[in-house]
Formats: sequence, C-alpha cells, structure tokens
Amino acid sequence: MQSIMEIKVYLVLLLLAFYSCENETSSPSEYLEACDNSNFLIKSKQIGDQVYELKFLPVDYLISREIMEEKLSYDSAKDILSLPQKDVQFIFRFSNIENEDPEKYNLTYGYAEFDSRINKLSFQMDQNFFVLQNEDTFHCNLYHYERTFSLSKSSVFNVSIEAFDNTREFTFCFNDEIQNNGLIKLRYSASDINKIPILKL
Amino acid sequence: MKTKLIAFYIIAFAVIAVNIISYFNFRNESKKFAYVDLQKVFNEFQLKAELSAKYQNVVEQRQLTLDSLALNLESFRNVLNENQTDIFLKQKYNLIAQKYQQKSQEFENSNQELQQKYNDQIWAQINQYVKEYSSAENLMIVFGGNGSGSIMYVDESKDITTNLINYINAKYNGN
Repeated sequence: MQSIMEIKVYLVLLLLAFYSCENETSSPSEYLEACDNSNFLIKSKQIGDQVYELKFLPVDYLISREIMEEKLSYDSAKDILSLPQKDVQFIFRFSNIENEDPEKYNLTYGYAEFDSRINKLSFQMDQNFFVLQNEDTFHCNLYHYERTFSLSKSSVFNVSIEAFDNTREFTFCFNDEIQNNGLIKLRYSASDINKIPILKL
Repeated sequence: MKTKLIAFYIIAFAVIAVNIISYFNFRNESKKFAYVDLQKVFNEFQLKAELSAKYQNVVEQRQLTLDSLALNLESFRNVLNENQTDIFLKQKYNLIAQKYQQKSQEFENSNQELQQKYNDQIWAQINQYVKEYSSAENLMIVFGGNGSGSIMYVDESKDITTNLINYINAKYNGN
C-alpha cells in the first residue's frame, strides 16, 4: 500500500518536473510582454571600453510584433509559421563607454581609416558574424548596417544567420576587427531558450 | 553576587563578539590581495589557443609561397650557371631574387603585425575578465607575475591562477 502511494507521489513529481521544463504558450501580446519585460533574449558583454549587445529575435517574436502593430493578419501569421525557417534573426549593436560615435572612435590614421571602417561596416561584416552550435558553424546570410551619420552613439546591425535549431543552446560570435577586441562570444544557454514562450495563434 | 555574574557574562560576550568581528575582518582583509601567473593565464586562455592555430596557418601559407619562389630561384640559378654569358637570363634571375627578398621581408613584417594584433586581442579580453573577477571576488589588488622576478614568492593560498583561468575561459565562451 505504502509503495503504491510512493509511486503516485513520484509520478506527480515527475509530471510536475516535465511540465515545468515546457515553454509556456501565449498570445501575441502576452508573448511580447514576456519577452520585453525580461532580458532572456538579450545578451551583453563589455571588453575594455567597448560594449556589445545582442538581441535574439525568434520568428514568434517577429510575428507577434507584426500582429500587434496590425501589419499582419492571424491567417498570414499562421501561414508564415507553417513554412520552414530559412534563417534566424538578431539585432547586434556595439558602442563605447565614452559615448562617442563608434564610426570615429579610436581612429589613428585619420580619414583613410574612417573610410575603410565605413566600407567594412557597410559591406564586409558578413564574415564577422556567425553562430556556433555544438561542432557546427552557421554563417551570416545577410546583414544590414544602420548608418546614422553620427546621430546614434551605437553601431546597429540586423543580422540574419542561416537556419539552425534555435530551440537548443547556441553561441553567437562576433569577430571585432573594428576595435581589435577579438572574438566576442554571446551564449544562449538551455535555460535561456526554455524561457522563450511558444506563440499560440 | 547576581549583578557581578551578569557583568561577567556581558564582558565575556563582548570579548567573544569583538574576536569574531576581528576574525572576519582579518579574513576579508587577507582576501583583498591575490596573485596570478600571467604567463600561465595567457597560455591557457582559449582565445590564445584559437588565435595561435590561426596564426600558424597564415605563417605556413606564406612559407609555402616563399618556398615556391625559392624553388623558382634555385632552378633559374642552375640554368644561369650553364649559360653565364646570357645577359637576359641574368636580368631575369636578378628580378626573381629581388622579388623573393621583397616577399620574404613583407611576410616577416606582416607576421609580426599579425602576432601583435592577436596579442592585443588576447590581452584586451584577459584584462576585462580579470577586472570582472576581481570585482566579483572583492579583490583590491591583483599582482601579476610573469617570471621576470618582480614577484619572487607568493603563498599558495594567494595564488588565484587556476580559478582565474577557469573564470576567463567560461566568460570568453559567453557564460
């Protein structure tokens, strides 16, 4: 009799453990609230006077935002969700603690260096972004550098990485050749991934 | 009699309290200084291993280019030895020898620049992680020994090298 009770208790505990590991399902507004009010999608790191910040943008997050801004209908959103994912989106930015324009920060060779830096930022950064997952490397398919002409104190990139399993832990890497700080790794652990809700449409 | 006993207890309690506070103060004070073996930290930092492999790869590729030029130069020298009067051949040989010298010098400079660039990247990250580690561990001063004799002896309890290496490698990997 006692052993049956024990088994029941273990079963209940097992079920509780199982369901606590599952991501919560939520509506678009709840989804955005859950993601924007906590920082599990955001990772940051400081090396010297440079600050690097990354925001992971799951498809569910992008769709929720579009729905809330009334740019996308529920039916279209469902269609998009049913399609295989081609790439994974991120917003990456770097700035400096001096709050100076990153395009002109630490320039030693004047205009020539500024010119080559702008060229690098605008057209050649795809080699500098990639994702590591286990032993695999996923490269940057596309990126866009937001040129602000010194209005913003941070350099912002919209980065699109070739599709990988973003329901498992991964590490986003940025090779900083601009300020020569080397490889910057920003890791999304399993616990971070588990906190991301599932969109219910 | 009773008041004397109470006074005795109060004094005893005060003495014990003072001792406990001084003990913890002493422990905190002694924790404020630490030592690291910089050479070991540098060599065991994961970024250093990655960049070393990258550097070796570049150096080997450049050496292959130089070897190919040297081989070309050698074969031209053999031909020149057989036709020592051929001015055109001599001019071509001089041209190739000059190119070899130029490339050799260029690669040597580039290798040095690359090594310096990688070392700067490694130290930028090590410095940041040491700062974060010291802040997390409430350390006031971290002495860095590099085997040059600036620090001759450190008690083992003050050596945080192993802990620091684990910390900076974990931080580097994004943890």
